Amino acid sequence: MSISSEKGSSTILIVDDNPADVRLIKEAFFEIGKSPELMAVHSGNDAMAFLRRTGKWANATRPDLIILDIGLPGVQGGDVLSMIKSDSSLLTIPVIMFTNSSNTDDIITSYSNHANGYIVKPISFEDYIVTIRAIEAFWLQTVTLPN
Amino acid sequence: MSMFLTRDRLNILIIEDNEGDIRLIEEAFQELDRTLSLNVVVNGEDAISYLKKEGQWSAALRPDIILLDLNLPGIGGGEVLSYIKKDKNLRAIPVIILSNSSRNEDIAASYQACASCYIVKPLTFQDYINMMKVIEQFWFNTVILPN
Repeated sequence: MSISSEKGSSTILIVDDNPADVRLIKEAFFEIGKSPELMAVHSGNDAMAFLRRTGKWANATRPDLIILDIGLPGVQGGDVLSMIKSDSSLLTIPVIMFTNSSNTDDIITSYSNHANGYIVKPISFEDYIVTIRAIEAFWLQTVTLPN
Repeated sequence: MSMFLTRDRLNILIIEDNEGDIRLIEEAFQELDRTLSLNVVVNGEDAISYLKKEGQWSAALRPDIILLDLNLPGIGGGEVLSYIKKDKNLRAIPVIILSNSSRNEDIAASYQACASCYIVKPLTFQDYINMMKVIEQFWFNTVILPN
């Protein structure tokens, strides 16, 4: 099924303050038999510290893909997106918005700020599996990611 | 399969000068079980005219998503991408780069210019079909596209 060659272990940064949603993402990857390295942070400030390798994230791996919630404590996901896409050293990392919001303004603003996709969080675990399978097949098997 | 509303009349703009590739893309899309509106322009000048709704494209529909080749006669695909992503009315439209090039420079430049993603063209028709199914599952069934 794979179009491009199977990548080695990819790293995905999950930015989500809801531990249950992080767990569902991780369990869905397990369920489809794929095991990218999954890192999670729970706030916008921590996301930027991770990406800029400051403080306790000095040795953090640069992620191949970011899954970003919008409703975060402190710095909001939309602001995190803007910071990533206006930072020349980070802007090439694809960012998929993953949110409870289906608000049209959030959708348009995210794409206008160069989100690489916008997904409304599924309700059931079964739908999480469908969503994570689509993300994995597209971003980790089909697309050529930047180095 | 999809947990979201299925979009039956997505409008796709294909910017591609190679007749063989256009045919493969169109035929692979036809293998999908959905009705799509496929519009093709064969060079960068026509792509920009289409998006500006100039001349023969005055009644053109705004694309929901764009497939863009890099190697085009005249205005290149990279310039078309930059034009789209700098225009406040167009920049929210996702642009999938579909190119023969696997050069790191082309991949990095495309992500830096805010392409949604970069795909190296498949070699066989079966791989085109596989690619379109993965594109469909992510972009048409999972993601919420900007309206």
